Amino acid sequence: MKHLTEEQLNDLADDAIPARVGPEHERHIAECLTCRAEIARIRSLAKRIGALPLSIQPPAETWPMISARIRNSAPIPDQERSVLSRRPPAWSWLAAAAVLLVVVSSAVTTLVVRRPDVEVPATVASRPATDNDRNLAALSSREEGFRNTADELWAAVNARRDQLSPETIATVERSIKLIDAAILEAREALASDPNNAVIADMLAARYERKVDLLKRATELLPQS
Amino acid sequence: MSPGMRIRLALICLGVFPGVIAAQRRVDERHPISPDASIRLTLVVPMATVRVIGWDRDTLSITGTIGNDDRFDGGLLASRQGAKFYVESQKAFKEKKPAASKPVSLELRVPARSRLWIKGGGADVDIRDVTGSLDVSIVGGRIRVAGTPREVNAEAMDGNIEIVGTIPWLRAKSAAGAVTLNGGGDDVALSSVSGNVVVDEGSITRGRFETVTGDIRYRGTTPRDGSLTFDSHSGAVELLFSPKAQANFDFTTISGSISNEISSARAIAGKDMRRRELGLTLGGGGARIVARTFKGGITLRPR
Repeated sequence: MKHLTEEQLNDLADDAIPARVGPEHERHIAECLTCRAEIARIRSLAKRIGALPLSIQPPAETWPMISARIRNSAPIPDQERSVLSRRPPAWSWLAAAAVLLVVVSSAVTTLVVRRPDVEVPATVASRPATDNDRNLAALSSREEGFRNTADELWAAVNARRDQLSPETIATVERSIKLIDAAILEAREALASDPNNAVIADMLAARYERKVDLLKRATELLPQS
Repeated sequence: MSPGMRIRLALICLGVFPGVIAAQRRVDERHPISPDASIRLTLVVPMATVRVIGWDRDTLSITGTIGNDDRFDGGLLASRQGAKFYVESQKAFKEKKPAASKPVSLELRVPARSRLWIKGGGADVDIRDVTGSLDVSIVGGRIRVAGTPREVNAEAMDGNIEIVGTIPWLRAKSAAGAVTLNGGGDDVALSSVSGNVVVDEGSITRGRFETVTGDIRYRGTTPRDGSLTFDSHSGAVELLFSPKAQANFDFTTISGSISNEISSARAIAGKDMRRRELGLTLGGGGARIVARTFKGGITLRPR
C-alpha cells in the first residue's frame, strides 16, 4: 500500500482537491487509517496556526519589572565578578527571548506561507477539531514511532539475514505476518471507531510485540 | 536384543553410527568457582543438548561430548566470580546444514546459587535445582526449568519453554513455541505470538499473559491483592478459578465471545456497542483480573 505524498495529504486537508489527487488516491484515503490520521493532524495544525496572533508582544509589565530588578541588584564583589561574569547577563536573556520570538514567528510564518499557491480555506479554519481528529492524530504519532522502530530493526535483520539460519528467518517472517495481520484488523476497527480506547490499547500492544520480536531477532545476530 | 541395540547395529552396518562416534570428542572440565558466580555458556552450533544441575559444591563441572570439528573454549576469571565457555561450529553455520544428529551434549554442574547465562541456536536446555538467576535464550529446541530460581528470563524463537516451580520474577517469551508454567511467582510475564501460553497450578501475584494467535489457559490462583492481565488478538482465553476466589473480573472482547460458567452474570454490549464486556465480582472482590481479546473467545470456568 503506497501512502499519499505530503503534498497530496496537504491538498486533501485543505479540501482543495486539485488535479494531482485522483480517484485512486481518494480510494486509498477511504481505506487507509494512517493517511486519514495524517490529514486530521494537518487540519488540526492548520486550525492551531490560524488561531495564532500575527505577532507576539511581550506583556507590558515585563520590561519595567526586569529593569527594576537590574537596578535593585546589589553590586557584585570583585572576587565574585570573574565567576559570575561567566553567567549570561540579564540583557542576554532578553536578547535570547527576542531571538526565540523571531524564530517562532518565522517558523509560524513559514508554515502558513509554505505553499502560497494554496490558501487555507475558511472552512478548515472554522471547523472545530473533533475528539476523533485528536485521537487519530495522537495515535498516528504513536504509530509512526512504532513503525519507524520496527522498520529500522527489520532493516538491521534483513541486512544480515544470511547470518541467521533459514529456519529462524522463516519463523520471524511468519510471526511478523501474524502480528501485521492483527495490527491491520485493529487499525481497521479503530478507523470506524476512533474513540475506542480498548482497540487503541490492543493496537499499541501488537506493535510492542512486533518491536520486541524484531529486537530479539537482531539479538540473535552474531556480534560483529 | 533390544530395539535400540538393533537400530545401533543397523547403523553400524550402514557405516553411519561409527561416523557419528568418530566425529565426537569428550569434554571433561572441573573448576573451583565462587558459589554465586556468573557462568556464561554460548552455543554456536546448530543443535545441542545441555543439562544444567545446581549442586551444593563450589565447583563447576562440564562434561559431555562435542563434534570433532567443534571448538570448545573458555575459562574462569581469576577471582573465580565468573566463567565463560563456548562451543562453536562455524562450519555447520556457514554451510547452513542442519545437523543430522545432536553431537553436542553437555552436562553442567554449577553451584546452586550461580547466575547462569546460556545463549544458543538450536538447543534443548534443561535446568534444575538452580536457585540463582537464569537468563536463557535459544532459537529452536526447548527450554525447561525446574526448581526455584530467584529470577528467570527465558526466550525462544521457535522453541517451547516449560517452567516448573515457583519463581519470584519470571519472564518467558517465544515467537512460535508454547510457554508453560506449572507453578507460580510474584511477578510473571509470559508471551508468545502463535504458541499457546498455559499456566497450570500455582499462585501468581502479578501476571501478564499475552499472545497474538495462540491460546491462553490459566488454571491457578492469585492472592486477594493480585493482578492478572490476559491479552490475545485471536487466541482463546480460558480462565479456571475457584468459585470461592476473591476477585474482580473485567473481560472485554471486540468481536469475540465471552462465556461465564462460574456465575449467572452475562456479557453485555459495551458503551460504544462495538465490544462486549463482562464485569464480575466473586467473594466480595479483591484481585483484579482483566482479560481482553480482539476476536478470540474468553471463557471463565470453575476449577
